[in-house]
Amino acid sequence: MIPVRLHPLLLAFAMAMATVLVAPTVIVVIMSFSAGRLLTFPPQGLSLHWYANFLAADTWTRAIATSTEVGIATAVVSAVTGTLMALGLVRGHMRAAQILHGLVLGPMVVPPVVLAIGLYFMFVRWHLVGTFTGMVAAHTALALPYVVVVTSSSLRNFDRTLELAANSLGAGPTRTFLRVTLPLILPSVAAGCLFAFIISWDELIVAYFLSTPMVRTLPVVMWSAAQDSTDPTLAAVATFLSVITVLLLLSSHAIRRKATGLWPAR
Amino acid sequence: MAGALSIQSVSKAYGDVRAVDRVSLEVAAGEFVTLLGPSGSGKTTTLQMVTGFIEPDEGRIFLDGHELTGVASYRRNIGMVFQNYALFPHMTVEQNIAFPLEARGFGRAESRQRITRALDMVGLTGFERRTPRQLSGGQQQRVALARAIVFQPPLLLMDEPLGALDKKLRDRLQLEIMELSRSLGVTVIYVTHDQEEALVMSNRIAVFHRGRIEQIGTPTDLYEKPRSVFVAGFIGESNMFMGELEFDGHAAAVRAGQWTIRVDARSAELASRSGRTVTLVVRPERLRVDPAAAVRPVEPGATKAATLPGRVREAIYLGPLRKYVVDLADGIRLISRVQTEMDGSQLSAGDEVQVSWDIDRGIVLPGSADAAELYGQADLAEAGENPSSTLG
Repeated sequence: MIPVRLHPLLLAFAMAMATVLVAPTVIVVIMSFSAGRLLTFPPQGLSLHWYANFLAADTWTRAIATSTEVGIATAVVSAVTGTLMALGLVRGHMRAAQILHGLVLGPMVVPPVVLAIGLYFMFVRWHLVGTFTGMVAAHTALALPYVVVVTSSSLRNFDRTLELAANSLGAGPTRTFLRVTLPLILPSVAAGCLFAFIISWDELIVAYFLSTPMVRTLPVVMWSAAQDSTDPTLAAVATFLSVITVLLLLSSHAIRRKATGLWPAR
Repeated sequence: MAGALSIQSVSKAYGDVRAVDRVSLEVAAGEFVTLLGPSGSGKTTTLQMVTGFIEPDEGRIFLDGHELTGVASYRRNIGMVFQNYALFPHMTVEQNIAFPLEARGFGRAESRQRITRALDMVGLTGFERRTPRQLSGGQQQRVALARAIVFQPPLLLMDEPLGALDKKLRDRLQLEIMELSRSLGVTVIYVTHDQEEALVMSNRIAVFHRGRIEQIGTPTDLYEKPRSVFVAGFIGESNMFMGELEFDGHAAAVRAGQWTIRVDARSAELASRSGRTVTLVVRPERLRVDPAAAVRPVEPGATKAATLPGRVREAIYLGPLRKYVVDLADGIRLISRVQTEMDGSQLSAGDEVQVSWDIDRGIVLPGSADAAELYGQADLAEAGENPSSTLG
């Protein structure tokens, strides 16, 4: 690292920005360990009371279970579909590839509320509102672009002479894909998969529109809890949510770093 | 013995460009044939049609009488070595070499045995558990070679396999590949743009130019009897005089600039069939350089010599050889190579000299020799590696 001497004003600005970005999370984490009965800062004493409370409450554990299930299903469905889409977009000779690519990336740019409303009216007609399937389908639409982006960039960097080599050695298309192509893009697919889980895991807007008392994800339950109660359990849940997200992000990053290390240095 | 390849008038076009234009080639079983040419001359495209990575637009290819054209590449049973090694980075050396055996359903014991033998052949015993990343370029190419021969294909294709390696290693691997292919009895088609490599390794060389085979022959044939200016320029160094042929049925001469140079009548007759513009090619080692004062005694029965006056521009000592760069009065530059031991005169820069050669050593070829024609515009940079003095 090169030591950089910052202008005092710039330093002050940077500190202010960092505070704005990090402070809310830090405050929530600290409040979750509070011994007091209300969401207040600074906390009055320390305790793990609210964590116990959170883990004991049926509402919360059911929400965690739902979120986990939806997240895993979303991750798996978008990893498989996203990889196939990336293969088609990168390897196929489709005239409409550009347009298709744009459509796949659509949910990244469309405001979530717009998407949520659209999905809601569509799913009402198809009787998917408040169902597990509906939730997974909606979250897959949101997560798919990320999987497609990550996987297609790894396919674009793929050295295709490896596939030619496999062909020349007697491996047909299926064996070549399973033994050469897939193992080499797998780290990217896995990273995309984790990312898809995270997107589903902390998504509120679409989940809120599609939820019913039967199927409610963790962020939805948190939102309604924040509306009508002020007890620090919410802070404990929020901390839990963030820790999982950060851990998954870190592992996704680690996988991708390891993947780039696989290729021989040129 | 298996491995006889027959390429019958294959063509491949990309848009308006005919990458390969009616190329035919017969390769006998066990032969080592090099496809030599500048980049973009069609040699790699031809090779890829043999592997099946590309299907020809026209023409057919046979291996031991069986048609290859239309057969998927993974069913052709041909070994292939790539320039960038193309080892599978997620597999160990052993797994890489096992790959073609797996695809063919070999049993574990048989595979183990074959892998051991292949690794032994390329001198990498003990490297089984390494990954390609842990190997040097030369070692990686040896693994690729082991992988390409472990299933005993009758035909082995190599696409500039030594292109990424340094000169010393290249020289060593050239010999290793030759020995290996000979001991296996496998037919080899080897692609390179390095004429020296082609001369060293091949039984025969096919010189590619603009999608066609310009000439095919043994290294000696190509060097001693090039049939076109391109071949003369591409293989080895050449002195070239471009000019008009004057031929009266007995004596012949080439009028190049202010010089009228006597040439061999037989050689002239062949060239005269395609017009008056010709290029006279003289190899540097055929060119004698003597001090202007000295007069070389004419041996009885010796063929007549062509003689031109000049001045030494550079005298370069190359160990076993001495190289003289000689300028003629009108700026034409010639190169002469003399064995150091045989060189009594030891000339230095600025000396007045006369250059001479036996006229039957001069080769008269139809057509002219401008650099663009010789190498194709895009290949001039690459051609810098094997300079030839192009005159006109």
